Amino acid sequence: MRILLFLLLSTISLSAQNLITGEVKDEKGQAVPFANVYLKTIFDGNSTDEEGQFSFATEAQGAAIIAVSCLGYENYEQAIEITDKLVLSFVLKKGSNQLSEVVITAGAFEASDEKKITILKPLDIVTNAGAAGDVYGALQTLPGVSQVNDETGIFVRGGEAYETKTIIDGALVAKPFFGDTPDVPARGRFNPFLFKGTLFSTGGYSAEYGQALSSVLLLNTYDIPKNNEYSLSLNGAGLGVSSVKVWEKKTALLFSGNYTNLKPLFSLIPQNRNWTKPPTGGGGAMGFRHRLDNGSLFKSYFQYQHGAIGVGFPHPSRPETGRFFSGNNDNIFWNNTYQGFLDKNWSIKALVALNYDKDKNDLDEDHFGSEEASVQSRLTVSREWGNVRLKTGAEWLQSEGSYYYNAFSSELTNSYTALFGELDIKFSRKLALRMGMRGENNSLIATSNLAPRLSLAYKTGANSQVSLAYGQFFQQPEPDFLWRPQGLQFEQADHYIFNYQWITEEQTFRIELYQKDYDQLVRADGLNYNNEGFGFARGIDVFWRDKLLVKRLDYWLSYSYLDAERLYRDFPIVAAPTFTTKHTLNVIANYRTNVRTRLGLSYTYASGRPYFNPNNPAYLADRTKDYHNLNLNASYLTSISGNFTVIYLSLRNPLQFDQVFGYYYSADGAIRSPKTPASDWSIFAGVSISFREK
Amino acid sequence: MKVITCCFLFSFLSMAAFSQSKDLLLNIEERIQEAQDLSFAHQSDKIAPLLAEMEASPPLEWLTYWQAYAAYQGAVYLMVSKDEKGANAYAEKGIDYLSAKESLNTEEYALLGSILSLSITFNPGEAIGLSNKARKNYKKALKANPDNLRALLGIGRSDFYKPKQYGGGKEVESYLLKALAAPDQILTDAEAPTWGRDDAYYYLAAFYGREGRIDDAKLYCTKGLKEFPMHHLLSELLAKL
Repeated sequence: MRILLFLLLSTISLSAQNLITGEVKDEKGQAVPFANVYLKTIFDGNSTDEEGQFSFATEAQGAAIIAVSCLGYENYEQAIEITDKLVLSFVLKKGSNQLSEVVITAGAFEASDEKKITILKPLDIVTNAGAAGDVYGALQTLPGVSQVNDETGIFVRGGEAYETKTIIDGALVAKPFFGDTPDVPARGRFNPFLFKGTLFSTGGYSAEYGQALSSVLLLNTYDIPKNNEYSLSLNGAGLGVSSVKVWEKKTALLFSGNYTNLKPLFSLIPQNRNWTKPPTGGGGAMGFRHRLDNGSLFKSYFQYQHGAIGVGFPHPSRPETGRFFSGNNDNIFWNNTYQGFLDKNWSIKALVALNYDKDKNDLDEDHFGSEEASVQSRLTVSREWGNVRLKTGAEWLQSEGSYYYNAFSSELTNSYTALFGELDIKFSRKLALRMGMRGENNSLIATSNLAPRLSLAYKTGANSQVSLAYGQFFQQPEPDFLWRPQGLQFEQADHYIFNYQWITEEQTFRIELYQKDYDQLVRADGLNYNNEGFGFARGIDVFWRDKLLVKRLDYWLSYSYLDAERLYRDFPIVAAPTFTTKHTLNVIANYRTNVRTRLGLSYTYASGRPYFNPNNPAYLADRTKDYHNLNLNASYLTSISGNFTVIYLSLRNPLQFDQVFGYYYSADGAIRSPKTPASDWSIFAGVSISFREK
Repeated sequence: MKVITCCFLFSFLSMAAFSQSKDLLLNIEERIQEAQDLSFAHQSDKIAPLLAEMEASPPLEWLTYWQAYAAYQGAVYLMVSKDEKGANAYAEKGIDYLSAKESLNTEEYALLGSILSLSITFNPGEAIGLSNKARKNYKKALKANPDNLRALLGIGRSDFYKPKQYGGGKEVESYLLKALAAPDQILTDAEAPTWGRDDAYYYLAAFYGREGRIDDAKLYCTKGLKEFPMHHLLSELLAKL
């Protein structure tokens, strides 16, 4: 009897278990493994197997809601009526199913392969049609950067070029560009393929860095390459070779060399300059990487470069001959970094870097130049306590420079020290705060400062967030003003930034409003200098990127509105500087026709720039014509004798838009000649072959 | 006759001794777990006597594994009891047991990975190196048997603890879901291990909770508690969600 009762109860118990089975697929009909399928609020469920199949038993009956979730897909819910054997099928859409953590974004554009979602990827930098393989060329297409195509450097949010600093693996690069030739913007010195990550801050940057009034460009080099590799590149500008040797995936040695001579290219393309010595140069680099058994990483990178240039350009003051410039430059950058662990919970980053630069220039009868050397060391330690992260450290930079202009010369020696601390607090997944403080001392101007930084970010939705940032930034005046003691102080800028960002893997929308207040800018009254200058820059930067509109098309638009004025240097009144443009628009598009071929386009519009017209009593009241530029590029991936090969071609300004950057006036103001590009259009082609050990 | 009697007695005693040694590993996983529970309950190390008992035993196929596992559990107990030095000594002992073997099977690789991962707590200066070594062993375990629950758990758990700034958190979900889909025991020997499923539930639920996927976290807490109703970490986590 007992046995009968037991069997009866068992049957009742079994009949109360309802079995729900089915499958989960994506929009392409592919199985989705490891998706969670469960009854909401009841939490009976299971995950799908490798074939996307699931099965679970439940005692629940009647109406219920079944939920499906999986990383990389949008959550799905459906009302169901539970029966004893229910078979279901779900189709998940690609997307995000989680509220990713809030991150501090105000002021920063990041390109990284290590993070899943960033605005740009490192490849976007090197394949950008407007970049021509130059990191700085790619940055020109981001919002907040003015189109100043007759001067070297990046001009960020109404700031001059010297207000932006380049930092590689934490080390300041004293001279990141090749030379500084009048009316000819120089390219960056560094191969863009060196970098795995780029963070371009257009304002409100971290307390870890200083001495940049407007912006910092943080470049991080690759760690240890995976394979032995040798490469050869040949293009219209010259040739380059490189070699990478890796031992046991933890030690690597890198060599590279390059030779540049633009004479052949310039002989093919009509030039607006009289090149007495087309840009030539050569250099070599050596890198060493070693990962210790405890996981610490040591990196050393040494680069030497030599460049020479000679150019004549028309000038109304010398209508018969024009003016002639010649320059020679030698540059060394050597950086040694160590990244590891200090103690039980503290991680450490330490570096020692050397910069050396020698410049020798002639402009007609004038001779000028400089020889500068600096040693920098930086130590940063950090640790985390759950949602709190502390980063603190110190920086020391000793520099010496000698400068000459004809018979006049000066020597400058400076010892710069800084202490910094930064605290990141994540109150929740939605709210984060970063507080920082940086104290600096400069022996050359015998001045100290204390610079607070503050950022706050709040997640407003699964893909959106708002950020606020405030910071005070100081910078030593340019060496031109320090040749004799005049009691100059740091120049100063206060940044206020509001940022809204909506980002998915396929689309990005970002808008940033900013106000930058300058103070203590150097003013020049003849040879007397003071810190009575001031100014402001305010504006809106908008960025939109989309990979969904057309299959295989990836495009982005950036628009900047800038309102900037300042009283500085020899300005007689407050005025908009020559390096500012009110409106700037960039359109960048890349289209992959197939796996091998990629076509790129970049179009830039910038409203006219202020220029000085001695015939107009209003100072800097004239504007150049609007600027238009179009770049096209194409690349084709193939193989030569089994070696990976890229063939590329790019065209600058093929429609030959008339581009004027300003005007030179004769001494009496009666004659003027426009500042134009070195050529109205150009073409560039090359091939790069990678030989990998088999 | 004397010779026959001696041979008989020798054989009998040998069989008895072997049988006793085999008994040592009978329910050894439960015994180690019980010793650890008692250690926590009485705040004194009850694993050391068990380990001493195993050390006195003649060689057996699974003996090294369970010696190393006992040392691993001893390290966990002393770590929770804030005796870091003692915990590290246990962990080193566990590594020594396994390193002394000429070749390891899938379970031994997985256990070595787990002990190396635990060692990071006592040697943070070698975190990346130990983490890499642990991962290599987990991978070797999975190469030998891709359904090894403990190796899958090990990789998922390591990734759970890896700071996001070093790329952590990307593999937790997939590895722990695979772990939960894997059988408890993959080798047919009676002495082969079965542990780890409860931890896989816990770390998966904790990961979902940390990522704000609260319903997913509740699902795996609920499922885990159905299988392991006494798992207090799962109960605590569910209460917090």
